[in-house]
Amino acid sequence: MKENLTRSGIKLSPVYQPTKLDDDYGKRFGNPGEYPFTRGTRAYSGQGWIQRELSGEGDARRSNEQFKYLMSLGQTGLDVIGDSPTMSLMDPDHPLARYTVGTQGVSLCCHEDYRQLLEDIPLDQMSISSSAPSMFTVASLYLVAQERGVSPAKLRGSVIEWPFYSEHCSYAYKMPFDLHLRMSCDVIEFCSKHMPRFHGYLEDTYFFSEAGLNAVEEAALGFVEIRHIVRTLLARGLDIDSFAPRIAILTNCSMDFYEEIAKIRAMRRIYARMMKEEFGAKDPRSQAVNIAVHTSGLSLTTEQPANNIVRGAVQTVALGLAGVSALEISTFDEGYRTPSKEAHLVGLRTQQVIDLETNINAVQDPFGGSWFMESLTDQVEARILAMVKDIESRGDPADLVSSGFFKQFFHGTMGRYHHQVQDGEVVKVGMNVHQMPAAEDTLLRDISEEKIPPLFDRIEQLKAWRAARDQAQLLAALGRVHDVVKSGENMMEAVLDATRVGATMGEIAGVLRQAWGTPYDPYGYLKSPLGGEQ
Amino acid sequence: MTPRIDASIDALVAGTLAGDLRSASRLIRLIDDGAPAAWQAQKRLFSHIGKALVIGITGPPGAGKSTLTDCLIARARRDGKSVGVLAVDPSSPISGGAILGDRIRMNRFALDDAVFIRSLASRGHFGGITPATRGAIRVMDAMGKDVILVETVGVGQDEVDIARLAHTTIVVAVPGLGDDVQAMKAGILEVGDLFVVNKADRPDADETVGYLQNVFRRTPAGEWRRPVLKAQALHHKGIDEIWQAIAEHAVYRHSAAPALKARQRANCEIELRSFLRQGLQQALLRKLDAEPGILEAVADIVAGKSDIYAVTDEILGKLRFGEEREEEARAENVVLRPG
Amino acid sequence: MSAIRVLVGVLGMDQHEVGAVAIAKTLRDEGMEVIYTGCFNTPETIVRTAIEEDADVIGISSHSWEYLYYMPELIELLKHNALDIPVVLGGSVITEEDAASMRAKGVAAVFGSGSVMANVVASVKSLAARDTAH
Repeated sequence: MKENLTRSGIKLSPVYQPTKLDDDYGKRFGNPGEYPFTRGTRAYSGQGWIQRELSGEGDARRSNEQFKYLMSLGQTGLDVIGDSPTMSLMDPDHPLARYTVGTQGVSLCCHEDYRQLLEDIPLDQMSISSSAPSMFTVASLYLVAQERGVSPAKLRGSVIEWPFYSEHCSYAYKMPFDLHLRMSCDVIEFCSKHMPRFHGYLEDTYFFSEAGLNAVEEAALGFVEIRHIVRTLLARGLDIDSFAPRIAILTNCSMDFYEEIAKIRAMRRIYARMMKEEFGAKDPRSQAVNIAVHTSGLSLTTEQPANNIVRGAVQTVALGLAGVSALEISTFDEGYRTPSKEAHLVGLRTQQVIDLETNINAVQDPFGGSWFMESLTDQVEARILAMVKDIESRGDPADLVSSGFFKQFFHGTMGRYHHQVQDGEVVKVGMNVHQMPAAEDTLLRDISEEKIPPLFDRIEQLKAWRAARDQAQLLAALGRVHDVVKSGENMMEAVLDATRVGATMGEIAGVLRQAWGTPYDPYGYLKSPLGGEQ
Repeated sequence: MTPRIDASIDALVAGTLAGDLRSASRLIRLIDDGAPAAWQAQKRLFSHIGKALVIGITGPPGAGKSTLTDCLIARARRDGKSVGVLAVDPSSPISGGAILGDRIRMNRFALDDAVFIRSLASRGHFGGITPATRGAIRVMDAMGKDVILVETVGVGQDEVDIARLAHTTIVVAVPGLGDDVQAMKAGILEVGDLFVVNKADRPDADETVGYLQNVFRRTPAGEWRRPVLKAQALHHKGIDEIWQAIAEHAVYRHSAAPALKARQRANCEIELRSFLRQGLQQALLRKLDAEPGILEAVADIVAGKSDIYAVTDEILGKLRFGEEREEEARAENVVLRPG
Repeated sequence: MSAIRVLVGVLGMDQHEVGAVAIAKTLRDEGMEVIYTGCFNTPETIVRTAIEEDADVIGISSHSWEYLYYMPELIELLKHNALDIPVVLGGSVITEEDAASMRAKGVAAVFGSGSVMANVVASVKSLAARDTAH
């Protein structure tokens, strides 16, 4: 391991501890890589975080080019997001999808799309994180890996499970909660058996915290969801150590510098104690949770977009100090669009400057032992735990979802944040202080305001492609998906088979809904290929 | 803000009777705003109503009233029936404004020409519906809707008004709200014609069903024995059974059960009295508004030249309430000085 | 008793309700009745709902570019139905340039990023009054 020196030649230790180690240190902190993982989940490696930028636009081919461009800039992991229809379990030829195909992410709806998306990407080396619906992402990744002769067991990366909150403040699946939860658990179970290096469960607290939540609320709601999913998996008879090693968390990072660092430290400790003491996890990998972070899009402004570059840098420093496993910066043009090429470049270079020029990775958890930071971590931790307890005391979290408790909660926080910004309580330079006439606010504007037009061609292509499939084979496979929903078995095998014969995500999702007794198309436009709807 | 009346009342009435959505919609607005013209319009519609089946849907918040309404729209549409929906949400007591969002759950019928969904704000009225609800039902009836679903505010236990307007009132309950169900006893239990325990996949559903069934155990022969049904509106389960119970209730409604007659008479009396009260109030308020001396009287009171009680008596006297006020005063004296 | 009735909704696949909820609450607190239609609307559903609810003003909240396509469709559809209901558009993704083009296409008022809520309220009120005064 390389020795780290300051510019003046002072040698830096990878981690600093109290001069006298006592019980309290072991209980509350532990060195990095030691329970309760307050100071980090791994012993010092000097490697820093996985550097990536959120990508995906247009169709799979264009996004594949985007991947290659980002890799050429030194990106060390892939992170892909679907366009609105993809994220909402909707195929691009759905009538509601028309003006969004490929505009805010990549349009993905079938096996063939993933073949194109992953062309030339070294599947056994590159970690692939996807925000697209997990069941379909995992099915396609698995099939593409098999086709390319890569064992699915070698795949790394993650998919998001968000049965609790997606409906209310992100992308609506229009799935009954119980069905969505079952899909998530089926994916986690499948991955733990067939893709052991892949995180089948990324708890994404980022997207719902963008509804104006503070750090405590974000973490608490995340833990409520984790706890319910873990309990559901345990109730299936699974061993906690069979799936818990591949749970990870993706959090937000606002501009509240110290609190964000404290949040990440507190979350690692809460998670470790919860897994060990409450759920009986024995494998240290089940107790240590990797936290990846996407910096806050909500913290950015559409005014004076260059200021957003500074915001991304400050957040990256905070996250470097907190010790996160992977990081994406919300790019400076986020307020207007999905990242441009230029903004991607700036985002990655920001990470690289901070990683390579500042010595930030020389010392792990440099704030550890700071009177202030330890006090703040304790307080954040206590508040998170109190809020989890409060929510769980209100009844079965699943009932809270269906009764609209969380929806009301998010509407409250959205309104609160809006007022905080309007009243200047949350300061945003360029927006509510130090504003500038629109005519003078020109720096980086042209890039920010450039738009990606909808891919009308893809809609036509897909229609033609649909017609060319082997219809008998397709219907038989969709029929098996329908049956497996009723049977209660893990749905992944049936979904894999249907995906293999060309069933689209929208079709499979519709059949899942239909088998559950709800409309195939919740928006009322499409009819089920299986017929027989109410 | 009363909208402009760009069509005459004649045209609105004719349009409504012909099933025109825009005429009917504007007419409901005029009724809701208490526009004088609305009275005339309703009068003219009266002989054309009575064909629709009116179903009330009430119950505590979170019970799934809107979702059940959505399911009932679908069920009625399957029979080829046209549907009107009135969804009442509460007005803010402070600003008087309201957020009317029930129709989101019925969005899949947004473009169905046979379905007309209208949101109403409670506008300070308690009892689960609004004074305009009856008028709005009649407009929808007159325009030819076969089934009219009225979803109440769903905030209190006093939502009993709906039973006077609906042919069949459905009370939606959810398991696990043990205390709420107990508290229902007070008002809602008496107004429900059928009870739906929604979210019946929950473990404690049977307990709630059992409790309600026990309440209705001793229904006299020949009277309506209120069914207690289980449903999962979110999963579209139990809807056919509810539809069937509504049909059975219709058979009872056409029977000669004594309770039925009494209910009809009571409802009619309440409506007539309420119309008379409204008319009287409006007429007197118009008089009062035309009374010139009020501002000067205020000046006198503030200046200490006269007292507010004497001034009140004086003005009411001028409006010819004098005698009643004196009688009241005499009555109070009797109470105040017993013996 | 009467109140201004405003329809507030979001079009297409845009699932950002923050702005729509905030404006709905603000208008409610100003004494208006807000018919809130949430997400997944199309110009067709908006026009139909505006008729059913006798809306005085239509407010569209937008945080995706879909509005560039949907708004002209909505304006055309209102015209086609001979409905004179003013449409107000708001959302942080709307640039000055696009705002101008929307106004030119018949949108009564456009509020981009950093708009002051009081101005939105005043605009809705005056548009509703304009409607009444006809």
